Amino acid sequence: MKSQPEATPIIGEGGGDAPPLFEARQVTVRFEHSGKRGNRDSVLALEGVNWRIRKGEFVSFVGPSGSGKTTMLKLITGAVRPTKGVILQDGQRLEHTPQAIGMAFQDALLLPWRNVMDNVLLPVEIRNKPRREVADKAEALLATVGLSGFEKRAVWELSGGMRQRVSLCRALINDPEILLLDEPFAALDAFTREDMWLVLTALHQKMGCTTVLITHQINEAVFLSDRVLVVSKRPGRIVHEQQIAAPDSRTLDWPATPHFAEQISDLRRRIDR
Amino acid sequence: MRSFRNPAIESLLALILLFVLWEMGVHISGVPSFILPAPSEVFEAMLPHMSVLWRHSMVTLGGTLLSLVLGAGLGMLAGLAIGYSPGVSRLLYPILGGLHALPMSAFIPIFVVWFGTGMFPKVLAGLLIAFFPVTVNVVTGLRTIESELWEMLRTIGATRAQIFRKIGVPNTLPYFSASLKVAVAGAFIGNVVGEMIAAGSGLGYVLILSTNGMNMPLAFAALSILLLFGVALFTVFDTLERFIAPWAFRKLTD
Repeated sequence: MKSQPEATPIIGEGGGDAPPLFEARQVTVRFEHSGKRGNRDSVLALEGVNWRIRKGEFVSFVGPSGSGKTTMLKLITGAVRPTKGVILQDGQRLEHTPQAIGMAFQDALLLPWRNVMDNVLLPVEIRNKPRREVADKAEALLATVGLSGFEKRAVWELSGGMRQRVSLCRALINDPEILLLDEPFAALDAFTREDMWLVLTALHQKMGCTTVLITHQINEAVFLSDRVLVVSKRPGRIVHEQQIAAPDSRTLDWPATPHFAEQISDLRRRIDR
Repeated sequence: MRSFRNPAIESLLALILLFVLWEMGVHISGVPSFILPAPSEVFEAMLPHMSVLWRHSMVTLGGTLLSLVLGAGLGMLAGLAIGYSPGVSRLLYPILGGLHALPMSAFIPIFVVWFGTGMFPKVLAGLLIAFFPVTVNVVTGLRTIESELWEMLRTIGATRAQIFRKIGVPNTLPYFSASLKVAVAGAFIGNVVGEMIAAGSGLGYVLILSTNGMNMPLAFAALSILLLFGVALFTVFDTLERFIAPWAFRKLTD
């Protein structure tokens, strides 16, 4: 499929010249529920959504609750299919086959009967790869998130932030093409959350993995992202797109600057609640 | 760290307290011993029959454990099949639920017609009562896999069988070990009632024989041993739970 030249730039399709890894074109999603007495209830979750996620980019979706942000991720995993429009992967219509996708959620969802290392290696076992081949990589990932020496620890010994770190390592162990994060730090306290921003920034720099983050924290989106897409109330549409201007290294000094605050207020104005 | 109290000692103290209250109650109220004997009389009746009671106790205990092992094993298999396959669930689950609502002891005379007296009818009755609680709990364990985790694993190419093996089956273990506490009581009831109806040995048989002869102290001796067994079996499986699924008993740290 050849890419057609656009007459006017469409909101959601910015982000530079790198080729899009995933792309939504005029995607509408309508969920059908069979209601009482055979009535068909339907909810229009997304309407005419366009976006491009470019290789190596860190993109965040922000928007009010129930705006269909999570549906954006499910379009990428293939768990939800567009009612209208199309999702492209590398320019081809998305195939619903096993994907090299890493995922993390608000709940770390670790298996309590496995230790830290065995949790990280779960996706490796699913692929029936020998553990020996990735043992070094798992150690390196755990070191990057500051969990060296915790390999044999039980899950119940870890704090909430540590569990999220393990969950991120698990998401990255198979070298995914894209990392999907659905409000991964929403349940953490403010200090731990800021620590996690640094952890995620370090991981993104080291692995260079294309990342999509769903969050309702605007400061989190600005701190972490190359580009932020604002989703409207239901039915979700992309109403604003903002390229983030960041210093060379994103440290916790940055959020205290006027430069950061300006970008926050720009975005906040665009979110309708 | 958690403070460790020996649950066996606590249960024993509770039992002793029960016997003390019973003894006092009988003496204060003056109930005749052929209606309700005091524990001291029960103990007196027990002494000359110790070896006989021991033999019958072992019959009951052996039958109960056999019912439990077979019932829990089959219950686990049924639970895994029902939890894994929606088809099997629709086919079997309501029927098994309905069967469990029937009084299994009522089937013992029928089992006697089919299989004769002896071990078989009572072990079968115990097995049938022990079976379903295990099934229900194993099914719950399989059905409570987090949907996000399920979706994540499906996305990276996990098969249903892989998810059941690596997440479902370990996830059933806390439920399974809890169900054993219920199942062991069922196995016990099936065996004792079976012995009362259709066996020539076991504590249930002693109970029937002694009440027929109006030997209430001996009947209560048998009952007391049954109570002791009940407490012991429950305590054993309550303790075992922490070894079958230790992670389920750890406090989360945040």
